[in-house]
Amino acid sequence: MRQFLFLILLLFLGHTVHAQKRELLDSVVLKASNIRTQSIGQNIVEIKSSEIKKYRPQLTDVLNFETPIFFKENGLGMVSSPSFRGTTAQQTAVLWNGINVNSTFLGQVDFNTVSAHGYSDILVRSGGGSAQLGSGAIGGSILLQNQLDFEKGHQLSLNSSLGSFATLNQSLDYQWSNQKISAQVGGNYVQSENDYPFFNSNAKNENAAFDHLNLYLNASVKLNNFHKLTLYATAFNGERHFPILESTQIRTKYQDENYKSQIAWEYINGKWSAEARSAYLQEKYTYFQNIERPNLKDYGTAKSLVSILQTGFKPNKNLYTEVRLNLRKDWAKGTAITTASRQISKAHLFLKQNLTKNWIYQAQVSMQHTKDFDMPVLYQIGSQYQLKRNHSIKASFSKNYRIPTFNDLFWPGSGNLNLKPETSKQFEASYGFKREKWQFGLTGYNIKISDMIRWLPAEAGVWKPLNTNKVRTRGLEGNAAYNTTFKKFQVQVNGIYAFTEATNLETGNTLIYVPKHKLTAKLDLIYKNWNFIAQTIYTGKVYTQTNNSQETALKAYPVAQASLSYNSSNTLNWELGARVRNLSNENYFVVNYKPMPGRNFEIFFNLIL
Amino acid sequence: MKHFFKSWILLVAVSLTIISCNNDDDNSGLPTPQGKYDLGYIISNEGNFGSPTASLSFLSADFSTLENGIYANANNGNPLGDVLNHFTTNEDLAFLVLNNSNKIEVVNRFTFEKVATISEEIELPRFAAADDNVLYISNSGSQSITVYSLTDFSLLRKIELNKSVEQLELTDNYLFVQNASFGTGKEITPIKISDFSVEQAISLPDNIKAIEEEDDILYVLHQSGVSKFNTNSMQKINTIPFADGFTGVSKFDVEDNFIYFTQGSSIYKNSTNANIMTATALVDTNADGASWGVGYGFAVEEDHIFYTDVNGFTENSDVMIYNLEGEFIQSVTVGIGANGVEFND
Repeated sequence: MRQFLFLILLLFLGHTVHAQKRELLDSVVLKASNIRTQSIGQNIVEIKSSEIKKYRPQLTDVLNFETPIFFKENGLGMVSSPSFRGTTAQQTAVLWNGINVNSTFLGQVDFNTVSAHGYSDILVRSGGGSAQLGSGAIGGSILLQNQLDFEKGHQLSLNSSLGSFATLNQSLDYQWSNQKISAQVGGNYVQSENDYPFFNSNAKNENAAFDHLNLYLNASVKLNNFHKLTLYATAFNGERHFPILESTQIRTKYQDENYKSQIAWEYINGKWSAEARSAYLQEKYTYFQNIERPNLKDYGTAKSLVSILQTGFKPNKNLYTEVRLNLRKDWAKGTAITTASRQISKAHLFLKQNLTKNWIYQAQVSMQHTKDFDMPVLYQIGSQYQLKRNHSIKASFSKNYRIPTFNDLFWPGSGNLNLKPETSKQFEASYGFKREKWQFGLTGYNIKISDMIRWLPAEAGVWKPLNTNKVRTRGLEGNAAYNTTFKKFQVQVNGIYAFTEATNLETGNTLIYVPKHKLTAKLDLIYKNWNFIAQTIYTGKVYTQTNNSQETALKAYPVAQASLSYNSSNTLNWELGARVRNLSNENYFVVNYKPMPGRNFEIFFNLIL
Repeated sequence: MKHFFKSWILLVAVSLTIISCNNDDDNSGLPTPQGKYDLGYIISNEGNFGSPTASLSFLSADFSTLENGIYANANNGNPLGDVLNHFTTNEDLAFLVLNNSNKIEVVNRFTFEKVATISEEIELPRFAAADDNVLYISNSGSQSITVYSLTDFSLLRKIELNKSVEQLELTDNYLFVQNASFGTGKEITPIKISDFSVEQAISLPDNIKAIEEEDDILYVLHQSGVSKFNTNSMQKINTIPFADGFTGVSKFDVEDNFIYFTQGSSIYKNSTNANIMTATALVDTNADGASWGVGYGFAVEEDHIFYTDVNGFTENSDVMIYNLEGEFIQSVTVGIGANGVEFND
């Protein structure tokens, strides 16, 4: 509450002192509210669909190469959990067109069961954002976006690839828009035997096949100059066998079936805007304990209904305010949690103001309520100052949370109804430099997390969740990019480096599966019709035991890949190319005892009509 | 489970008859080890589920030397497997029940060199019991007991019980199968070993946690106390109820007329002829963490009490050793998820 009063005071002061300053806000006329314009003080990386298509069709691969996030991937294509700025898998929020889609059961997203396909862009915002984006936005947030443009005509695109270990990836997308209507429809299908050989043995990755089908349909209609109606829908159906290391082991598999749909009404008129959204989400998992006994399965279904009502007001060029109400209800049922539900209501206030020509800040606060546990007041304050000659500095301070999941609360025999949300306070500051060819950024952050939920072994082999740990993560993130044209070469080079120090404050030990160093680098060369891309990720040593035992630590490793392709844009616009992954044939482990594939190959063909 | 003196006599007798044994015993009268891992404590570490981190540790009888990873050391560095749920021995062999590897590793009891791998009709094995000729395995996946010959390790019989199967206790005439797992189930099924016939189940008033056989008495730890049954007549002898204050007793051991059990970080000791289980602890191990994070493995062997703290399975386990009066002797750090201790002799 004290923070809230402080915030009110700050808003008041800001308003009276600087109400007459000039604009940094987009224009006098309001535009639809957008996460890009509501992230003052924080960094956003944008990955366009043309880039996304150069990676495997699961989110893990693209984000691993394009962001500082570390992914704990249990073997290629298997369960993949992010560690963003040294935080846990539940402390990264994933939003699908503005709706938080972290699993109701697990609180996290398995980044190998979310297709990267079908989005116009993926935005990755580092740092806290729970006031705005809800539970889990502690380490950062991943925003899967569908932008619907108007007056673009028709476009049909087809992408195919065929790779090692009987891997096939096929996608088809169609877009059409005129002045009033815009529509996108498409899908992708991937399948892989995934039976890569292991290093130093005759064994291979047994029982590891996976496939998924992902479909989407998005459409937007401008009813008139003021009103717009948009529909988003997506369906995902995937199956993974879980690999075994010994032939005697029982073969299991896991199926995911997820649906998301949303309808949004947007209204903009002069200084006022309003928005109403309703989303329906459904997630279903089925675990087959033994594929030879198909009746032996566990399943869980969760459904969520989310309604958001918001209004924005821009009294002058330098000030924008917004009020948002959010109501969410989740239901779950299944073999373990037979029935459970939860309702959360939330009110959110947002304000953004130009203090001077070069100085802008935003402040926001959100309060939420649920019957199950006490909810903290969340807030964020961010500011950015534009120095002379392309230099800028910014900073953000926020309080964020991660609520207990349905499994934490209701798992039979284990669920703990006395859990409270994990909370975090964090600060970050950045420096940025931008010129025509150069771009450079450096960010330092400090995150403190209390009441971390941890599952511990209980009596009779049962595990139970508890609010136990205090954790501090701090680090540095640097990025640099350089673009140039040299003779007939177009050259683009960029790199990201993340230094992360995640510490359990009770023991002083480093958290497991958080590398201190992660470096990614990319070279993209275009010469006439040829495109060559070389990329690498270097991941530092990780501990796999909480006592930081050196014997069980995983050594640092580099992984590199390269592709060469030929583009033709005469009558038909097509591209044909080949890619080599794990170029140096590195025997590496992301997760202990989960071997990753050696050098492997892929050919790809893309067509745009 | 045997008294040291008794086992010493037995050992001498056995060592005279075992052909493979290199026993050039002198006249000192002390038992000579029949292999590197004889005459010491074998500690089983189940490992992390989903990874081949199961292991065995050997602790010398005087606690002076500890060797971790003895299976790998004896078998060219090969990992043992995934979740060592239980291990037991007969005269010559040790049987390692690897639940998530879905196999039984049979090793020489004194050298831990591999003899055979059993996987036929194994489906999520839980516990083993063996005499000199036959091995019994409880399989939770098929809710059955599978029986193997120890001459050629072939499957002799699969006894389907269609209810949960967990701990096994073997007497001269019967195999007792605990039909309760993860704290749920109220029955014990006796199987006559002469013809593998399934007898009438023994019923308890509440959920069974563990069973133990000692001197023709079957001790059954259940929610409200320990009940004793005659292992030949199946008749109940009596029940020793818990005093007020016990809520989650899940591990116990019966040794030389005493019943030892744990609740949270404390160890309790009562006579097998007590009228009630007293609420006064023999010793509090002060193992920290929540009550359920500790005491994962518990055993009384060779006049010592072994209590393991598995540290949440996120790092190696500590085994704390006490004498029978509850005085702390020492602790050792073993593998991940230490769940059992047995004296090898």
